[in-house]
Amino acid sequence: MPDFRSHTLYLVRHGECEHNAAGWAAGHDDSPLTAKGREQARANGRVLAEIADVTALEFHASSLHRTCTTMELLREAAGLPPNGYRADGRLMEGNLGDHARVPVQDFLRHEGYAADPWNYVRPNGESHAMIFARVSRFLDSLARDAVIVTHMLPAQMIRAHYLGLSPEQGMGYHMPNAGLLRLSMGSEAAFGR
Amino acid sequence: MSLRFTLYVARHGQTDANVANRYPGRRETPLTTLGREQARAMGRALLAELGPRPTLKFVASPLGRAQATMRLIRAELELQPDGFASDARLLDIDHGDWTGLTPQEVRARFPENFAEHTGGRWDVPMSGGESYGDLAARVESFLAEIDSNVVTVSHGATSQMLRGLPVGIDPVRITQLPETQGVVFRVRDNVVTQLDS
Repeated sequence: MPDFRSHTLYLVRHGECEHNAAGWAAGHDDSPLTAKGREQARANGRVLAEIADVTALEFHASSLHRTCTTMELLREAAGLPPNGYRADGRLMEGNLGDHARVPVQDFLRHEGYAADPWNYVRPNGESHAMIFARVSRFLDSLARDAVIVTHMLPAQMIRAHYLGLSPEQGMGYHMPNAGLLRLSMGSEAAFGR
Repeated sequence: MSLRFTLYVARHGQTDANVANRYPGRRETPLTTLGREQARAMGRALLAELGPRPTLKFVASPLGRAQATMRLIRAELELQPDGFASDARLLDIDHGDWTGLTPQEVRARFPENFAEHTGGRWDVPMSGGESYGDLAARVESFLAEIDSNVVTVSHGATSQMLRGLPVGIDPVRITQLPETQGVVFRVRDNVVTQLDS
Protein backbone atom coordinates (compact mmCIF):
# COMPACT_ATOMS: atom_id res chain seq x y z
CA MET A 1 0.00 0.00 0.00
CA PRO A 2 1.75 3.20 -1.13
CA ASP A 3 1.45 6.01 1.38
CA PHE A 4 2.93 9.23 0.07
CA ARG A 5 2.11 11.09 3.31
CA SER A 6 4.67 8.98 5.18
CA HIS A 7 7.43 10.59 3.09
CA THR A 8 8.94 14.04 3.44
CA LEU A 9 8.44 15.94 0.18
CA TYR A 10 10.44 18.99 -0.89
CA LEU A 11 8.24 20.72 -3.43
CA VAL A 12 9.95 23.19 -5.74
CA ARG A 13 8.50 25.33 -8.50
CA HIS A 14 10.74 26.05 -11.49
CA GLY A 15 12.59 29.37 -11.54
CA GLU A 16 11.27 32.33 -13.48
CA CYS A 17 10.93 31.49 -17.20
CA GLU A 18 10.53 33.84 -20.14
CA HIS A 19 6.75 33.33 -20.20
CA ASN A 20 6.53 34.20 -16.47
CA ALA A 21 8.54 37.38 -17.04
CA ALA A 22 6.15 38.36 -19.85
CA GLY A 23 2.98 37.52 -17.86
CA TRP A 24 1.97 34.59 -20.09
CA ALA A 25 0.78 31.14 -19.08
CA ALA A 26 3.43 28.70 -20.30
CA GLY A 27 1.55 25.38 -20.20
CA HIS A 28 3.50 22.86 -22.24
CA ASP A 29 5.45 25.53 -24.14
CA ASP A 30 9.22 25.29 -24.13
CA SER A 31 10.00 28.40 -22.08
CA PRO A 32 13.64 28.74 -20.96
CA LEU A 33 14.61 30.14 -17.56
CA THR A 34 15.63 33.78 -17.33
CA ALA A 35 18.93 34.74 -15.61
CA LYS A 36 16.84 35.48 -12.51
CA GLY A 37 15.17 32.08 -12.78
CA ARG A 38 18.53 30.31 -12.99
CA GLU A 39 19.73 32.09 -9.85
CA GLN A 40 16.47 31.19 -8.04
CA ALA A 41 17.09 27.53 -8.89
CA ARG A 42 20.64 27.66 -7.51
CA ALA A 43 19.47 29.45 -4.35
CA ASN A 44 16.96 26.65 -3.73
CA GLY A 45 19.75 24.08 -4.13
CA ARG A 46 21.78 25.82 -1.43
CA VAL A 47 18.77 25.99 0.91
CA LEU A 48 17.96 22.34 0.28
CA ALA A 49 21.50 21.29 1.17
CA GLU A 50 21.10 23.14 4.49
CA ILE A 51 17.74 21.67 5.50
CA ALA A 52 17.95 18.10 4.15
CA ASP A 53 20.32 15.17 3.76
CA VAL A 54 20.33 15.39 -0.03
CA THR A 55 22.10 12.04 -0.43
CA ALA A 56 19.03 10.24 1.02
CA LEU A 57 16.46 11.70 -1.38
CA GLU A 58 14.86 10.76 -4.70
CA PHE A 59 14.80 13.57 -7.30
CA HIS A 60 11.93 13.97 -9.77
CA ALA A 61 11.34 16.78 -12.24
CA SER A 62 8.57 17.48 -14.70
CA SER A 63 9.92 16.61 -18.13
CA LEU A 64 9.50 20.17 -19.44
CA HIS A 65 12.61 22.21 -20.22
CA ARG A 66 12.20 24.80 -17.43
CA THR A 67 11.82 22.21 -14.67
CA CYS A 68 14.70 20.01 -15.89
CA THR A 69 16.98 23.08 -16.03
CA THR A 70 15.82 24.11 -12.55
CA MET A 71 16.54 20.61 -11.23
CA GLU A 72 20.02 20.50 -12.78
CA LEU A 73 20.99 23.92 -11.38
CA LEU A 74 19.47 23.02 -7.99
CA ARG A 75 21.38 19.73 -7.80
CA GLU A 76 24.65 21.35 -8.82
CA ALA A 77 24.24 24.05 -6.14
CA ALA A 78 23.45 21.30 -3.60
CA GLY A 79 26.74 19.59 -4.45
CA LEU A 80 25.24 16.75 -6.50
CA PRO A 81 25.86 15.61 -10.09
CA PRO A 82 23.36 17.62 -12.18
CA ASN A 83 21.85 14.68 -14.05
CA GLY A 84 20.99 12.25 -11.25
CA TYR A 85 17.23 12.71 -11.37
CA ARG A 86 14.18 11.29 -13.13
CA ALA A 87 12.13 13.33 -15.59
CA ASP A 88 8.43 12.44 -15.29
CA GLY A 89 5.67 13.55 -17.65
CA ARG A 90 3.08 13.20 -14.89
CA LEU A 91 4.58 16.28 -13.23
CA MET A 92 4.14 18.51 -16.29
CA GLU A 93 2.15 21.73 -16.10
CA GLY A 94 -1.46 21.58 -17.26
CA ASN A 95 -1.84 21.29 -21.03
CA LEU A 96 -3.54 24.52 -22.15
CA GLY A 97 -4.26 23.18 -25.64
CA ASP A 98 -5.74 25.95 -27.79
CA HIS A 99 -5.44 28.43 -24.90
CA ALA A 100 -1.63 28.41 -24.91
CA ARG A 101 0.02 31.80 -25.42
CA VAL A 102 -2.76 33.70 -23.71
CA PRO A 103 -2.05 36.31 -20.99
CA VAL A 104 -2.57 34.75 -17.53
CA GLN A 105 -5.49 36.99 -16.53
CA ASP A 106 -7.46 36.22 -19.75
CA PHE A 107 -6.82 32.54 -19.36
CA LEU A 108 -8.20 32.57 -15.79
CA ARG A 109 -11.22 34.63 -16.87
CA HIS A 110 -12.28 32.26 -19.65
CA GLU A 111 -16.00 31.65 -19.05
CA GLY A 112 -15.93 27.84 -19.23
CA TYR A 113 -13.10 27.76 -16.72
CA ALA A 114 -14.73 30.33 -14.43
CA ALA A 115 -17.97 28.27 -14.36
CA ASP A 116 -16.30 25.01 -13.26
CA PRO A 117 -12.55 25.37 -12.79
CA TRP A 118 -12.01 21.76 -11.70
CA ASN A 119 -13.75 20.01 -14.57
CA TYR A 120 -13.47 22.42 -17.50
CA VAL A 121 -11.40 20.78 -20.25
CA ARG A 122 -9.52 23.32 -22.38
CA PRO A 123 -9.87 22.56 -26.13
CA ASN A 124 -7.14 20.07 -27.03
CA GLY A 125 -5.86 20.42 -23.46
CA GLU A 126 -6.60 19.22 -19.92
CA SER A 127 -8.92 19.90 -16.99
CA HIS A 128 -7.67 20.26 -13.43
CA ALA A 129 -9.26 16.89 -12.68
CA MET A 130 -7.16 15.28 -15.43
CA ILE A 131 -3.97 16.92 -14.12
CA PHE A 132 -4.76 15.77 -10.58
CA ALA A 133 -5.27 12.17 -11.74
CA ARG A 134 -1.76 11.94 -13.22
CA VAL A 135 -0.12 13.86 -10.33
CA SER A 136 -1.81 11.53 -7.88
CA ARG A 137 -0.49 8.44 -9.71
CA PHE A 138 2.99 9.95 -9.50
CA LEU A 139 2.64 10.45 -5.71
CA ASP A 140 1.58 6.85 -5.22
CA SER A 141 4.76 5.72 -7.00
CA LEU A 142 7.12 7.39 -4.49
CA ALA A 143 9.28 5.01 -2.46
CA ARG A 144 11.27 7.48 -0.36
CA ASP A 145 11.58 11.12 0.71
CA ALA A 146 11.76 13.16 -2.47
CA VAL A 147 12.52 16.46 -4.14
CA ILE A 148 9.85 17.30 -6.72
CA VAL A 149 10.47 20.11 -9.21
CA THR A 150 7.23 21.00 -10.91
CA HIS A 151 4.86 23.82 -11.89
CA MET A 152 2.16 26.01 -10.36
CA LEU A 153 -0.85 23.71 -10.87
CA PRO A 154 0.77 20.39 -9.91
CA ALA A 155 2.44 22.13 -6.92
CA GLN A 156 -0.90 23.49 -5.73
CA MET A 157 -2.45 20.04 -6.11
CA ILE A 158 0.35 18.13 -4.36
CA ARG A 159 0.28 20.55 -1.42
CA ALA A 160 -3.51 20.38 -1.07
CA HIS A 161 -3.61 16.59 -1.42
CA TYR A 162 -0.83 16.10 1.14
CA LEU A 163 -2.39 18.49 3.66
CA GLY A 164 -5.96 17.25 3.06
CA LEU A 165 -7.26 20.61 1.83
CA SER A 166 -10.12 20.87 -0.64
CA PRO A 167 -9.27 21.58 -4.31
CA GLU A 168 -10.65 25.13 -3.93
CA GLN A 169 -8.41 25.81 -0.94
CA GLY A 170 -5.50 24.30 -2.85
CA MET A 171 -5.96 26.46 -5.93
CA GLY A 172 -5.90 29.61 -3.80
CA TYR A 173 -2.26 29.00 -2.88
CA HIS A 174 0.36 30.94 -4.82
CA MET A 175 3.62 29.05 -5.19
CA PRO A 176 6.23 31.65 -6.16
CA ASN A 177 8.98 30.89 -8.70
CA ALA A 178 11.50 30.81 -5.87
CA GLY A 179 9.19 28.59 -3.83
CA LEU A 180 10.52 25.66 -1.79
CA LEU A 181 7.91 24.02 0.40
CA ARG A 182 8.59 21.12 2.75
CA LEU A 183 5.66 18.78 3.41
CA SER A 184 6.40 16.53 6.36
CA MET A 185 4.52 14.95 9.28
CA GLY A 186 1.24 16.43 8.08
CA SER A 187 2.54 19.99 8.13
CA GLU A 188 4.00 22.48 5.68
CA ALA A 189 6.93 24.84 6.00
CA ALA A 190 8.04 27.34 3.34
CA PHE A 191 11.71 27.98 2.62
CA GLY A 192 13.41 29.86 -0.19
CA ARG A 193 13.54 33.57 -0.70
CA MET B 1 -18.06 2.34 16.85
CA SER B 2 -20.79 4.67 15.67
CA LEU B 3 -21.45 8.03 17.35
CA ARG B 4 -24.83 9.37 18.48
CA PHE B 5 -23.53 12.94 18.60
CA THR B 6 -21.74 15.35 16.28
CA LEU B 7 -18.00 15.55 16.72
CA TYR B 8 -15.86 18.42 15.41
CA VAL B 9 -12.19 17.56 14.96
CA ALA B 10 -9.41 20.17 14.80
CA ARG B 11 -5.63 19.78 14.91
CA HIS B 12 -3.52 22.50 16.54
CA GLY B 13 -2.04 25.11 14.17
CA GLN B 14 1.54 25.08 12.92
CA THR B 15 4.19 24.98 15.66
CA ASP B 16 7.92 25.64 15.92
CA ALA B 17 8.44 21.84 15.95
CA ASN B 18 6.48 21.52 12.69
CA VAL B 19 8.76 24.12 11.09
CA ALA B 20 11.86 22.37 12.47
CA ASN B 21 10.44 19.02 11.24
CA ARG B 22 10.93 17.38 14.68
CA TYR B 23 8.68 14.84 16.40
CA PRO B 24 7.17 16.86 19.25
CA GLY B 25 5.64 14.01 21.28
CA ARG B 26 4.77 15.29 24.75
CA ARG B 27 7.16 18.26 24.61
CA GLU B 28 5.83 21.80 24.51
CA THR B 29 6.29 23.78 21.31
CA PRO B 30 4.59 27.14 20.64
CA LEU B 31 2.32 28.04 17.73
CA THR B 32 3.91 30.07 14.95
CA THR B 33 2.29 33.19 13.46
CA LEU B 34 0.84 30.96 10.73
CA GLY B 35 -0.34 28.52 13.41
CA ARG B 36 -2.28 31.27 15.20
CA GLU B 37 -3.83 32.34 11.89
CA GLN B 38 -4.83 28.73 11.23
CA ALA B 39 -6.46 28.56 14.67
CA ARG B 40 -8.49 31.70 14.01
CA ALA B 41 -9.49 30.33 10.58
CA MET B 42 -10.77 27.17 12.30
CA GLY B 43 -12.72 29.37 14.71
CA ARG B 44 -14.33 31.22 11.79
CA ALA B 45 -15.24 27.92 10.09
CA LEU B 46 -16.94 26.79 13.31
CA LEU B 47 -18.65 30.18 13.66
CA ALA B 48 -20.18 29.73 10.18
CA GLU B 49 -21.29 26.22 11.17
CA LEU B 50 -22.56 26.83 14.71
CA GLY B 51 -23.18 30.57 15.06
CA PRO B 52 -21.91 32.74 17.93
CA ARG B 53 -21.76 31.42 21.54
CA PRO B 54 -22.75 27.84 20.65
CA THR B 55 -23.73 25.50 23.49
CA LEU B 56 -21.75 22.33 23.04
CA LYS B 57 -18.75 20.83 24.79
CA PHE B 58 -15.16 21.86 24.08
CA VAL B 59 -12.33 19.45 24.91
CA ALA B 60 -8.63 19.91 24.15
CA SER B 61 -5.46 17.90 24.62
CA PRO B 62 -3.54 19.16 27.69
CA LEU B 63 -0.52 20.19 25.58
CA GLY B 64 0.06 23.92 25.12
CA ARG B 65 -0.27 23.93 21.32
CA ALA B 66 -3.76 22.43 21.53
CA GLN B 67 -4.78 24.67 24.44
CA ALA B 68 -3.59 27.83 22.63
CA THR B 69 -5.45 26.76 19.48
CA MET B 70 -8.62 26.10 21.47
CA ARG B 71 -8.49 29.55 23.11
CA LEU B 72 -8.19 31.24 19.69
CA ILE B 73 -11.08 29.13 18.32
CA ARG B 74 -13.30 30.00 21.30
CA ALA B 75 -12.50 33.71 20.98
CA GLU B 76 -13.77 33.60 17.37
CA LEU B 77 -16.95 31.95 18.65
CA GLU B 78 -17.41 34.82 21.16
CA LEU B 79 -16.90 32.44 24.07
CA GLN B 80 -14.77 32.84 27.18
CA PRO B 81 -11.40 31.55 25.85
CA ASP B 82 -10.59 29.40 28.89
CA GLY B 83 -13.97 27.73 29.40
CA PHE B 84 -13.10 24.29 28.05
CA ALA B 85 -12.13 20.87 29.39
CA SER B 86 -8.81 19.04 28.92
CA ASP B 87 -8.50 15.30 28.43
CA ALA B 88 -5.21 13.36 28.42
CA ARG B 89 -6.71 10.77 26.08
CA LEU B 90 -6.42 13.43 23.34
CA LEU B 91 -2.64 13.82 23.86
CA ASP B 92 -0.37 13.49 20.87
CA ILE B 93 0.96 10.02 20.13
CA ASP B 94 3.96 9.41 22.43
CA HIS B 95 7.00 9.60 20.17
CA GLY B 96 9.18 8.14 22.95
CA ASP B 97 12.89 8.18 22.08
CA TRP B 98 12.07 9.86 18.77
CA THR B 99 10.93 13.02 20.56
CA GLY B 100 12.86 16.10 19.45
CA LEU B 101 14.44 14.34 16.47
CA THR B 102 13.84 14.80 12.74
CA PRO B 103 12.78 11.76 10.68
CA GLN B 104 16.29 11.71 9.19
CA GLU B 105 17.86 11.60 12.66
CA VAL B 106 15.50 8.83 13.76
CA ARG B 107 16.41 6.79 10.69
CA ALA B 108 20.10 7.18 11.52
CA ARG B 109 19.82 6.46 15.28
CA PHE B 110 17.05 3.85 15.35
CA PRO B 111 17.17 2.24 11.88
CA GLU B 112 15.47 -1.02 12.90
CA ASN B 113 12.72 0.61 14.94
CA PHE B 114 12.13 3.19 12.19
CA ALA B 115 11.78 0.49 9.52
CA GLU B 116 9.59 -1.77 11.69
CA HIS B 117 7.33 1.06 12.84
CA THR B 118 6.97 2.45 9.32
CA GLY B 119 6.10 -1.04 8.06
CA GLY B 120 3.52 -1.68 10.80
CA ARG B 121 2.58 1.49 12.64
CA TRP B 122 -0.54 -0.01 14.20
CA ASP B 123 1.35 -2.72 16.09
CA VAL B 124 4.96 -1.57 16.46
CA PRO B 125 5.51 1.25 18.97
CA MET B 126 8.09 3.96 18.43
CA SER B 127 11.00 3.04 20.75
CA GLY B 128 9.96 3.99 24.28
CA GLY B 129 6.65 5.40 22.98
CA GLU B 130 3.30 4.33 21.56
CA SER B 131 2.03 2.42 18.54
CA TYR B 132 -0.99 3.68 16.62
CA GLY B 133 -2.92 0.80 18.18
CA ASP B 134 -2.07 2.18 21.66
CA LEU B 135 -3.31 5.60 20.56
CA ALA B 136 -6.48 4.09 19.07
CA ALA B 137 -7.31 2.41 22.39
CA ARG B 138 -7.28 5.66 24.37
CA VAL B 139 -9.17 7.57 21.66
CA GLU B 140 -11.79 4.75 21.58
CA SER B 141 -12.20 5.23 25.31
CA PHE B 142 -12.73 9.00 24.80
CA LEU B 143 -15.26 8.41 21.99
CA ALA B 144 -17.19 5.87 24.06
CA GLU B 145 -17.89 8.51 26.71
CA ILE B 146 -19.12 11.29 24.40
CA ASP B 147 -22.57 12.32 25.61
CA SER B 148 -23.16 15.57 23.67
CA ASN B 149 -21.99 17.39 20.58
CA VAL B 150 -18.35 18.30 21.07
CA VAL B 151 -15.49 20.34 19.57
CA THR B 152 -12.07 18.69 20.01
CA VAL B 153 -8.62 20.18 19.50
CA SER B 154 -5.86 17.61 19.40
CA HIS B 155 -2.90 16.51 17.30
CA GLY B 156 -2.09 14.98 13.92
CA ALA B 157 -2.31 11.28 14.74
CA THR B 158 -5.02 11.82 17.38
CA SER B 159 -7.16 13.70 14.85
CA GLN B 160 -6.74 10.82 12.38
CA MET B 161 -8.24 8.50 15.02
CA LEU B 162 -11.07 10.89 15.88
CA ARG B 163 -12.08 11.01 12.20
CA GLY B 164 -11.40 7.40 11.27
CA LEU B 165 -12.57 5.29 14.24
CA PRO B 166 -16.20 6.53 14.42
CA VAL B 167 -16.79 5.77 10.73
CA GLY B 168 -14.98 2.43 10.67
CA ILE B 169 -12.02 3.23 8.41
CA ASP B 170 -9.57 0.32 8.54
CA PRO B 171 -6.38 0.76 10.61
CA VAL B 172 -3.94 1.10 7.72
CA ARG B 173 -6.09 3.75 6.05
CA ILE B 174 -6.53 5.72 9.27
CA THR B 175 -2.78 6.26 9.57
CA GLN B 176 -2.74 7.55 5.97
CA LEU B 177 -5.40 10.23 6.50
CA PRO B 178 -4.13 13.80 6.10
CA GLU B 179 -3.18 15.61 9.32
CA THR B 180 -4.69 18.86 8.16
CA GLN B 181 -4.01 22.13 10.00
CA GLY B 182 -6.30 25.16 9.72
CA VAL B 183 -9.33 23.04 8.82
CA VAL B 184 -12.14 21.56 10.93
CA PHE B 185 -13.79 18.20 10.19
CA ARG B 186 -17.34 17.33 11.19
CA VAL B 187 -18.08 13.68 12.04
CA ARG B 188 -21.80 12.95 12.01
CA ASP B 189 -23.96 9.98 10.96
CA ASN B 190 -20.90 8.01 9.80
CA VAL B 191 -19.82 10.80 7.43
CA VAL B 192 -16.70 12.96 7.75
CA THR B 193 -17.05 16.41 6.14
CA GLN B 194 -14.50 19.20 5.94
CA LEU B 195 -16.12 22.50 6.98
CA ASP B 196 -15.86 25.37 4.48
CA SER B 197 -13.29 27.94 5.48
